[in-house]
Amino acid sequence: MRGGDTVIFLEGVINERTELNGIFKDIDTGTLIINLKGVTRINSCGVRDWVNAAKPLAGKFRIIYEHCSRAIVEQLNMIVNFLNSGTIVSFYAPYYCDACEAEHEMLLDIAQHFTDSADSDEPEAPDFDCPQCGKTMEFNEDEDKYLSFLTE
Amino acid sequence: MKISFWGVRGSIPSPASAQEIKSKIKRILRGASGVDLEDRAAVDDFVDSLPPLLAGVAGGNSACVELRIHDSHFIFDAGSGIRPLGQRLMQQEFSEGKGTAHIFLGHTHWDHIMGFPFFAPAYVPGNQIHFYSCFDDLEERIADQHDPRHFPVPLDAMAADKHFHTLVPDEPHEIAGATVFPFPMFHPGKSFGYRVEHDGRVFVYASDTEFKTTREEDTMYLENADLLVLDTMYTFEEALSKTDWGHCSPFIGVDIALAEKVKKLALFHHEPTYDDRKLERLLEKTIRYKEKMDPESALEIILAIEGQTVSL
Repeated sequence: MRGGDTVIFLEGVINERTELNGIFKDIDTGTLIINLKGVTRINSCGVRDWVNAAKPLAGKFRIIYEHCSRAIVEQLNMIVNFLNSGTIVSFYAPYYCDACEAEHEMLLDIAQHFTDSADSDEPEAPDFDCPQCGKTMEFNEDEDKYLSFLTE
Repeated sequence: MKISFWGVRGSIPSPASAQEIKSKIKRILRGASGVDLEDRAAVDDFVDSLPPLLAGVAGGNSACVELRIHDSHFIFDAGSGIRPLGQRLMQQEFSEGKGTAHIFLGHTHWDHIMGFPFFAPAYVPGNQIHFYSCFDDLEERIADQHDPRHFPVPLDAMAADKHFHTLVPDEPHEIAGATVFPFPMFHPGKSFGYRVEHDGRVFVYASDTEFKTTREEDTMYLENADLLVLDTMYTFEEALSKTDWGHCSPFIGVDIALAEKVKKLALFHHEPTYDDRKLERLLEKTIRYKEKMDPESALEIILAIEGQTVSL
């Protein structure tokens, strides 16, 4: 629970072998927060089963998707309206530090980092400093493609 | 094994429209700007260099796939595509009444049987037409189509010898030198796919199916298929809104093919409203999806195109 809201953490692989039906059973809440940081892989079978499991929730309570992992973002960009059962509030994106020669996954908050480009067809990734050396990092994906789900 | 696609559409035959052909011609002509097309050889070379769906069409005939194993003719489904297949067979022993065809029906929805009344070899005495399915009333279902209210030629008037065989699902059947496993699939009214094994090669025909559940017990017959011809009628998004309609999508097909170590996946049973541009984009998107899901996999994905042949 988080201030009266229910929080569910999903981790690992979501695919055709995953049992999703029981996840939302017996939830009684105003807002359901689903944390997707730990999802390492989800294929289209997993997406389909997810959409079907989430369908009965429509109108019952508000759903928020937070900390969407890169695997989730990839599917968001492949499949239109994958998570349209709720609101996406944050997601991870890869940044690269040239000085450290290391990649870091940074958490992007949509309300905080994309306010200026809210109505834009080309959202821009914010700058982040390397958590190790403090130097400015580069966004380590094709920005247009990785952020395309924000424009849907 | 040689697999030829004679009909790749689902629901209803859907030939390319004049508008679609005109659009292709315009694209070709724009692409020919600056190309030397002075002589016939140059023109031939240019046309041969064009992508298949620009120089040709995906095809409008409904489901029919031919499998040749040496001299044996296996035919999967008798949609409108069986008519041109029959015309080709009539150039061989079938015109003399010396042909044998093995027709496997997954189910008897109209788009999968509508071509049989036009299958020329069935009118030649002496030809042997063997029907296989998991429905014990298949003869009645085929005969219904020849009811005089629907078609002027009764089934009995088709002079070839017709034999109806009922197969047991999940059991192996030795047919014309190959081992055939029929397996149940999810489709309104029931449907069955076929796994064919011969000389170490595996061909699987799975249409029509939704693969509503994709647990191992539902997909095991696809394991290690050299070629899987799969009903991938709808885009993934459209399939989400058509649950229980009995059709699959390319992304789900890729997931299953990767899980079952399929070598080549043919996207089949195309939605009749999808023109060739949409099918091209769907293929590209599906290949990108596969690269995202498993870049190391050697799974090859093709679009089933009428007139195309795959050798295993």
